[in-house]
Amino acid sequence: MTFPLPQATRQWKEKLQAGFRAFAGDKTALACLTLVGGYVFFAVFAPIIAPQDPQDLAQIELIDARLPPLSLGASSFFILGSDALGRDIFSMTLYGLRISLTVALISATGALVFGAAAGLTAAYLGGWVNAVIMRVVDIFLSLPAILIALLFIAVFGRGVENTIIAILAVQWTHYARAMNAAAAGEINKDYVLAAKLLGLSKPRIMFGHILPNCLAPIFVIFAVQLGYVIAIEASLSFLGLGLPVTQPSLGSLVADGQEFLLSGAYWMSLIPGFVLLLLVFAMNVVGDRIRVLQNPQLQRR
Amino acid sequence: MLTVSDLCIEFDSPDGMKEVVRNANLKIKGKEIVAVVGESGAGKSTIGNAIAGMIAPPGKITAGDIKFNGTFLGRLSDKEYEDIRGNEIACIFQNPMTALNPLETVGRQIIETPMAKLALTRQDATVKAKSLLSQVGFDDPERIMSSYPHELSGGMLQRAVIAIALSCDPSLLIADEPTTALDVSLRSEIVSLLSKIAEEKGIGVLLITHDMGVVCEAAHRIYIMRRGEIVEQGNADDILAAPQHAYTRNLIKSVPTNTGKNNRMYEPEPSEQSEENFLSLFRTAGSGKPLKPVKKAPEFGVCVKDLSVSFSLSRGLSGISSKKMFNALNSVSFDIPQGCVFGVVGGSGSGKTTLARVIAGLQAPTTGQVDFSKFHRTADAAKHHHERSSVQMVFQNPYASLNPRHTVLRQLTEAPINVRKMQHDEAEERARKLIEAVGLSAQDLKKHPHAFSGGQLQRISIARALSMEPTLLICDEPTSALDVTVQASVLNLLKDLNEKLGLTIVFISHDLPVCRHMCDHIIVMNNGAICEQGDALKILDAPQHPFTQHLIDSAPTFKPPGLNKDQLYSNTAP
Repeated sequence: MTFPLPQATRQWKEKLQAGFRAFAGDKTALACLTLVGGYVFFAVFAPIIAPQDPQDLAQIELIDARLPPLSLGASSFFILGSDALGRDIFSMTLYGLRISLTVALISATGALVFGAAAGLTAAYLGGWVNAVIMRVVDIFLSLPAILIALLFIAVFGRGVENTIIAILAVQWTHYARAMNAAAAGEINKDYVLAAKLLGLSKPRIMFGHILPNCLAPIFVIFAVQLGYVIAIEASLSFLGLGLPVTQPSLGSLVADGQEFLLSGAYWMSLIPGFVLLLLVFAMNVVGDRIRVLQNPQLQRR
Repeated sequence: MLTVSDLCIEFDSPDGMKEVVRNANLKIKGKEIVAVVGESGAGKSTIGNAIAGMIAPPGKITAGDIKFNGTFLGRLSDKEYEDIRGNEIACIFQNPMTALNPLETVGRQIIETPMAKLALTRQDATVKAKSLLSQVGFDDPERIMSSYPHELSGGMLQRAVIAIALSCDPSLLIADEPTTALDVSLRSEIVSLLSKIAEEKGIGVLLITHDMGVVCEAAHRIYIMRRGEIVEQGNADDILAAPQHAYTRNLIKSVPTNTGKNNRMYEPEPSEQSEENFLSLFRTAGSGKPLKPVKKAPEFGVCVKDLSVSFSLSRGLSGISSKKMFNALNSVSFDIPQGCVFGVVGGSGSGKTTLARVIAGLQAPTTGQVDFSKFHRTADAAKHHHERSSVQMVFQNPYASLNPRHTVLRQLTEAPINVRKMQHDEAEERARKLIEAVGLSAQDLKKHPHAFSGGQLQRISIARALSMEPTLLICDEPTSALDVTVQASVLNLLKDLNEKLGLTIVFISHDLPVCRHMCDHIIVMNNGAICEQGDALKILDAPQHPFTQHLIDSAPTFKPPGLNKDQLYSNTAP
């Protein structure tokens, strides 16, 4: 297209600004958004911020093992203490956060793409395709999420990729169902009939015409589900079934530290646990606020 | 009885306070039907809501008084208002299907208010309800009392709603578009019922409507509203015969008449179109030859043979349909002659839209077929009928028929580029010609649908249909969602396409005067079958089938007293 569309982009900018202003109407949500932003900042710049690289054996002294928070060890100052091997809890938590967030984002995005495509295809093709896909969704939704994830890990084994696949398997159903409902509403609108009459191809109508009009509920689910995804990954890692030992996420850190809880070294488990708790909480508040803003009926209450 | 003076109502919007009603002055006496007439967004319903005390935030009455039987309504508390609303002022709304509680019998809903407000006993209220129901024209009030809303038709429900409104003997009845949601064949019935009630019970009726036919039949006095202001008021006969304000004149002239035939309808603000643009629309890429015959050729037509369509009523667990069927079309046969405007007339549920979808190929017929072999003249063209998208459609609701997320340019070029494999530059050039041909400017190509009004959107829809150079254009109620002054521009455009390009048009409508002006040939449908078919004027002037006669008799018609509409037209016709 040769026409430039400055007007459209300006509209987007205005819409975003108006959206942010509406979001900021709830102070708790704004605080949580700031918190999430802070988490992302720490995760992205973990290698720069962290005083120690927990993977680098040269930086670790065994003599620094099990130091409580705010103690000066042989190699450096341990602001949040150290673990049984002398690794800095603060650095470990930063790297764990980085891994947790990466895995969560990749698997949630994957679930969104896969689930939305499945839901849209089912709605557009209808008939038995719709029946089969949506009944599979029903079966997945009727089982506890963690059970499905465990099943996938049991079949495929541990590892980063397999954890992502397991979480995707748990999550895609939410997007498929929402997409199916939204698309079913759009499909009978006249503009879709008009597109069919114009002779446009099925994929073009599905992804070029129907999909853009169904995205709002999908993004809301993404925002709401992101917190759960982090929690599922943490649960798997805590059970020792998620990420490998070489890439400890927040969940693995909690698991590693728990054996020392009774001997008084509370910081090894509690600090990553608290970081995780706050992250999931903040993400849920942010997701819920976005959900409310998207639904004018909820807003009025 | 009711005096509204200098009423101003504002709505709080993101762009600041918006004045919806400005300095409105209005009077209603007993026994009098006062019509507030205007187009959508004129503020007429807002006045009705203000009188009933139903202006809710973000709306606000900023100035003026409403005086009703000596009390100033604006100064009442919510509780005092509740006593007046229902008791003294009753309302009926547009859609009777949603006005009643589906879980309770009609009888319960009628006796509920008198028992609460007039402190009647159940027996007294029941007696009263029965007499009310017979007053609104029911022969067997007992059966209606024990019916649930879903068991009654739209017209019956609206009469039941009127009975409920009358149950506390109000002195003012606010009727907000009481006929709009009803089938045409029921409108006259409701209008004459309102007249009868006003006369017999001495009730003042505030009739809010956009339908000049309804106004013409019932109103004693008229207030014409435009953009929140009352531009003209007076006795109905005076205004309809000799409108003073320019807007009123346009409004009255825009209403299609029920006599004679005018190929062009009156357009208040005609859009500029150049002849050249029109003729260049239908040239195939490269060849430069006009694709279409400009002459009417009745011998070449679309043959519809024994067409039936059934829908299954229930769906099983698997989503696969079960046996219970509903016949939307019952062996329908007719020919659509090439180059003519072919009207399909009928009430709601008569199968008009299903028929349109089958002809367009959006819905497969259960039995029978639509034969395009003669229509396309060459066997090759007929064979590629579907790939060439030879049939295009214009839909009823212009707000739903364009993808809200795509620019107009994309709507007009996407199919030519992707289906007809046209070059981008060429498709854009054509889009520019198309948009100008339908009376908009090339600037509009960059905009999204939300930037346009209903009439403009409908013209864009037509341009989109034309982008595929169709041989047949199906228009499914193309103007019934539009205001009457906008209607003409869309109808004239369609007429031009038919006359100048020879485009065959299937025109589906329930509006008989519009059909009279548009169509060469019509079929009248009822319950999925054809009752009558033939020349449009012949059928409309001398209907043979009882259903057609009923349809023509029952639609409220607009006959301005003492005014020869043909004279009005002769001033403006080209």
